Amino acid sequence: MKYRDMMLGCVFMVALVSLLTLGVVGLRTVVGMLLVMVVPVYFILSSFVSDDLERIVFSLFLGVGLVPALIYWPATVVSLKLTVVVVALVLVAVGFWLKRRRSKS
Amino acid sequence: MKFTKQHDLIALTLLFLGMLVLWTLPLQSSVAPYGEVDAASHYAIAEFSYAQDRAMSSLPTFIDKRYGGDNKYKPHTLWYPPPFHMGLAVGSVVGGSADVPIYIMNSLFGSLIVLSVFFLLRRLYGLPIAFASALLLLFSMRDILITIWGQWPERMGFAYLPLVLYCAYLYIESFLAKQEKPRYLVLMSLLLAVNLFIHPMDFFHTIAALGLFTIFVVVKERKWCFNTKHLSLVILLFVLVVSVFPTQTLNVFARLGSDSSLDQPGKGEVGRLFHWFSPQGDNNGVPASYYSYSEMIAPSWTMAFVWLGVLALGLRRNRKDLLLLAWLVSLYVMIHLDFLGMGRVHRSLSGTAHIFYPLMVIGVWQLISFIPLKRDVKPLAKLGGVVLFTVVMLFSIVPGAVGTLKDAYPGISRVNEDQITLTRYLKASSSVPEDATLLHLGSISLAKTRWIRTMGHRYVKDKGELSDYSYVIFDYSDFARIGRQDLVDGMLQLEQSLANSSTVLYSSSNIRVHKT
Repeated sequence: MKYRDMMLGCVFMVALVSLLTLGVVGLRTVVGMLLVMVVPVYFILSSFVSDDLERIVFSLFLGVGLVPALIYWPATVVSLKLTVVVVALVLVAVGFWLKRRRSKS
Repeated sequence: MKFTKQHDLIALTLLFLGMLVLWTLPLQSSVAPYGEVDAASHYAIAEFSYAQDRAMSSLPTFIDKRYGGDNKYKPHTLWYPPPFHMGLAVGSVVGGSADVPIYIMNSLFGSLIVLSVFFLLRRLYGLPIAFASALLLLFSMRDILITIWGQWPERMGFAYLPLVLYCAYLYIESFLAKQEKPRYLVLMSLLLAVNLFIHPMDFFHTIAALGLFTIFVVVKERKWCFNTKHLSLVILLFVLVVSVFPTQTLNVFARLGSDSSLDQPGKGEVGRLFHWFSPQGDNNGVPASYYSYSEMIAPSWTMAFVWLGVLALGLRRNRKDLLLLAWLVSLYVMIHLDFLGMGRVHRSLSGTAHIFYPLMVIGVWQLISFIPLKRDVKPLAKLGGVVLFTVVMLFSIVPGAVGTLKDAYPGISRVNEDQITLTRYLKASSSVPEDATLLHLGSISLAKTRWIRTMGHRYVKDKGELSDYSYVIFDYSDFARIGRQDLVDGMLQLEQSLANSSTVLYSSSNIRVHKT
C-alpha cells in the first residue's frame, strides 16, 4: 500500500472515531483542526523535510503552536472566523508555491 | 524484526486515537464544563474570543478584575502568550460551538506528550520501546489529573521537550559527522519559541535539558558541537518569533524578577538533594496521592526497572543515551530548585512520567539482552519481554486512569442546568452591567462560582458581605440537589430580608438575581 493512501486511511479512521465517540461536533473539531492547523504546515514542510514521520510530527506540533500565533493579531482587528480561513488558505498557497519553486530548481 | 514507516504511521494513529477516545472521557459523560479555577480561566479566554469573534488584546472586565495584574509587564492584557488559547478558540470556530470543541482541543493538546515521546524514542530506540512507552504514558495518572484539574497549557508545553531534544540530537550528530544539517536547528528554534508561547515553566525545563545534553556531549567528545554561525542565526530567529508577543514574553521575565515563591522553606537543606521530592508548605489543595509514585506512575516494584534503565544508559553512554540522561538530570534539577529557595517545584513533578516510562521499558529491554540466548532468538525475546511488561503494567494502571477520566467531576461538581440558564441570562443581560460585581450565595465551591463567572461573562464572587454588593445571586440549585433543606431555609431568610430594598432581575425555580 502506498504511504500516501495509508495516510488518508489513517485520517479517515481518526474522522470516523471522532464521529462515533464525540458526534458531529467532535468530527468537525478534530478534522477541522487537522485541516486548519496541521495540513497547511505539512505542505510547507514538504519542501524542507523529506522524512515522512518527521513531517507528520513537526506539522502537528508546529501547526498547533504557530498557526494560532499567526491568527492572533489579524483576529484582534477582523473576524476570527474569517482570519482562520484566510490564514489556512495563505499557508496552503505558500506550501504549494514552495513546492513548485523547488521542483523548478 | 524490521519495522517500516508504515508500522510507524499505524502506531502513531493508534496512539492518537487513544488520546482522542480516552482523554475526552470526561466530556463523553457530560458536556458541562469541568475543572478547577485555572480551567475556568483558560476556558474564559478561548470562549470569549469565540463568542466575540475577535481575539482579545485587552482583558474584558470579568477576566480583568481577577487576572488584570497577572501580566506584570503590561497589566490588563493576556498574561499567557495567545497561541494556546487561540488554538482552543480555533477549535471552537471549526467545531461550530464553544464548550465541547474547547475540551476536545484541550484533551488532544494535553496528551500531545504521548506522540512526542513516541517520536523521540522511535528514532532513538526503535518501535517496540517507543510504542510501549507512549502507550503507558497514555494512562499516566499525574498527567490526567493535572489536565482535568485545569493546568492546561502546562500539560501541552511539556510535549515540546522531546522534540527539541530530538532536533538538537540530529543536528549534533550531523555536526560531529561533518555533514551539518542546520534545518534541525531552525526546527529546534521554532519549537522552542512555541514552547515558550505555550508555557514558560516548560520552556525552562526544555532549556535545562538542552543545556545538560550539550554539556554531556561536549564533555564526552571533548569538542564544541554547534556551528557558531548557525547557532547565532537560530537564536536570532527565536528572538524574532517570540517578539511577536512582546508583552507576554516580557511578562515571563517580569515575573521571574518578582517571584513571590522565592525563599521557600527547605532552602539550603542538603538532605533535600537526596530525596526525589519533598512537598512544600504552599502545596495546599494538592492531594497527598499526587506525591506518591505508586499512585501516580506505577506499582513500586517498577522502580527497579527505572533504575535498570538509568544504569543501562549510564554504562553505555551513547549520544542517544546521554540525551535521555540529560532529560532525567534536568528534571532532577528542576524538582530541586527549592534547594536554592526557588520555584513551585511540585509543578515540575508533573514531568516525571514522561521520562520514567521510557526508562522502565529500556530497563526491561536491557535486562533481556543480558540473558544468554541464541542470537536469532534474542530480538524476539526482547520484544516479548517488552510486550509482557507493558501488558502487566496496563493491568495495573489502566483501571485507575480510565476510572478517573470517566468519573471526572460528577453530579453537582459541574455547573447544573439552572446555573447554565443563569449564565445565559447574565451574558445577554442589559440590566446587569458588564462591569458589575455579583455576590454568589449558595456556592458550593470556588470553582463553581468561577464557572458561572466565566460562562456568564460577569464578575461573580463567592464570598463577601451582602451590604458590599449591588447585585446578589441567590442560588438554591445545588443545595436543593443535595437535599440540604436547612441551607435552603437559611438562605431564604436572608433573601426575604432584602424583599423591601431590592428588585428581582432574574427569577427561575432555583435561582434569583437581586439588585439591591
